[in-house]
Amino acid sequence: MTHLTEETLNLFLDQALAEPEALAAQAHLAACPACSASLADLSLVFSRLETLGDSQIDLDLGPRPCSG
Amino acid sequence: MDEATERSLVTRAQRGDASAFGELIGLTQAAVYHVCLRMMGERREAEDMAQETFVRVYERLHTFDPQRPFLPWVRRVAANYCLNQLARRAPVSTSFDDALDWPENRPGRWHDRQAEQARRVRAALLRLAPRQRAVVELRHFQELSYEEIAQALNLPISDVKSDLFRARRLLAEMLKDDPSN
Ligand SMILES: [Zn+2]
Repeated sequence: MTHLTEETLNLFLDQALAEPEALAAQAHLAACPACSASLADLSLVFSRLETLGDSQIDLDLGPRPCSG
Repeated sequence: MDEATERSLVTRAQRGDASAFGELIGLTQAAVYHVCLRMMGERREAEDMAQETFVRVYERLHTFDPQRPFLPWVRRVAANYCLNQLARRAPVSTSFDDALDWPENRPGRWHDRQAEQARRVRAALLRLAPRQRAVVELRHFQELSYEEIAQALNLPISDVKSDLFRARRLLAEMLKDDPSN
């Protein structure tokens, strides 16, 4: 079984695959623990980055401390 | 703010109305600041970059189509400006500590675990090469497509993809040993 390439995994998560490719990737992921694990590693990056999204953080700039 | 109000502010600013431009700054400065903070890592520097961003926005305002949304354009200008500044510098070895004035380091605002995660992500981002960081900023925070990123940074799409995919692989490695997983 040929594993999904890094590019395919990235395109899959970016929803940038054409529908037939996306379906094929989905089928492979369902059957392949190795590729699912790689996908999970990449997905973690996506969800962690969200912690720094503008909606997550206080957008009030506030006064900055005067330290010269 | 509704689109019509924004359009009218942009149009007035384009005709030289300083108070309209001031209002546009007020509406977008927090978002621009956060772009700059993700790119630069240091609050004071991020504030300077945000100010410089608005200088550039002002200079290019006549090229902006008021039918388009203003904030995404300004955020793109900010990312681009930060990248250009970073690209001119010698790479610095960065170390980060809790003393940095990041939003997640201010006491009492976040749950400890959430703050710790945010710190780790921010530090990991700052370890990426500037162009990788810019591509991550534009894809993950500004939600541009590969094509839009290529256009914004004046790069071929193949470079956008390789920078983005490599950046994600590096981030995955840096965040993998996160004890809070
Ligand atoms: Zn596989």
